[in-house]
Amino acid sequence: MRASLRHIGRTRIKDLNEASDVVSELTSALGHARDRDPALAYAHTLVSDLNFDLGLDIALYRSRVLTSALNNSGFIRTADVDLACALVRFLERTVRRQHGAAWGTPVAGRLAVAAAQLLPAADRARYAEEYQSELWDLAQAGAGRIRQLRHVLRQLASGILTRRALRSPRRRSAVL
Amino acid sequence: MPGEDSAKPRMTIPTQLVLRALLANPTHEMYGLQICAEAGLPTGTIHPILARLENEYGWLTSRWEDVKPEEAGRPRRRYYQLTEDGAERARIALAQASTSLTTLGLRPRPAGGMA
Repeated sequence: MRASLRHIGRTRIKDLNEASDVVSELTSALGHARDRDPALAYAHTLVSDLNFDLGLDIALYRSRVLTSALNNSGFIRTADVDLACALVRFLERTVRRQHGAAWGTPVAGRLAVAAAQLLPAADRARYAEEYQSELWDLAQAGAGRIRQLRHVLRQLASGILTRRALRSPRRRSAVL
Repeated sequence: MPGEDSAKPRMTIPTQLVLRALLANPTHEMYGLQICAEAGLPTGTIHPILARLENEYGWLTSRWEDVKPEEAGRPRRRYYQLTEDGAERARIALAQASTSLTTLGLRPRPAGGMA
C-alpha cells in the first residue's frame, strides 16, 4: 500500500505496524549504502536503533536527526527521504496525542532540523541532534509552543554566523 | 599587539558573558541551555559563539553526554568545557575587555532559570 502512496510523493503512515515496516525498509536501504557515505553510515546507526518499544519520544528525536542525516547525502533515493519524513510526521502526531506539548512541538522540531541544514554538511547531523536535545530540555522546563518557536527562530537567525564559525580555519590559535 | 588580537575572538558582550559563565567553574562541563541560563542570554543565540570558540580558536572542547537515549528516555546533550589553555586565554581576554562591561554598566545575570 505504501508503494502506491509513494507515487503521490507523500507517504502517510497510519499505525505503528506501518511505521515498523518503514523502519525495516530504511534499515535495509541504508545498510546497502552506508559504506558509500559517512552521513548514511550515521543515518543507518540511527535507524537501526529505532525501537518503538523504548519510547516514542526517543524514536521521534532519532527520526528527526535521521531526516537531517539523509538530507546530507547525495547517495540516498528520494523515496527513502520521503519515508523518513513520513516517519517523523507519524511520530509527531502520535507523540502529540500522548503528551500534548510536553515534547518539542512539530513545527519547532522541523525548524530545528532546518536550522541544522544551514550548516556545513559535515556538522549538520551533530547540530540537528544538539538542537533536538535543547528543544527537549526546553519542553521539559515547561516552555510552551511560542517559547520553543522563539528558541528555534533564534537558532535559524544565528545559523549564518554558526555556519561561518564552522567554516573558519580550524584551531587558528594553535598556529599563532 | 596585532598577533595576539588575531589569536582571540572578538570580545563582544555576549562572548564575554559566555566566557564568564564557562569560567565560573572551568572544570565543570555545561550544555547549551545551561550556558545560556548562566550567561543570561536568550536560548538559541550562543551556538555561533560556542562554534567560534571551539572550532576557530580551540578554547573549548565538546562531547556527547555518555547516555543511551533509549535508556535515559531523552536525547543526549552536548557538553562544553574550556580547555586549560582556553581558560587561561579567556581570563586574559576578559581582563583586557573588562572595561566594556563596566563602562556599559552591564553585569552577567545571576545563574539559574532558562532565559
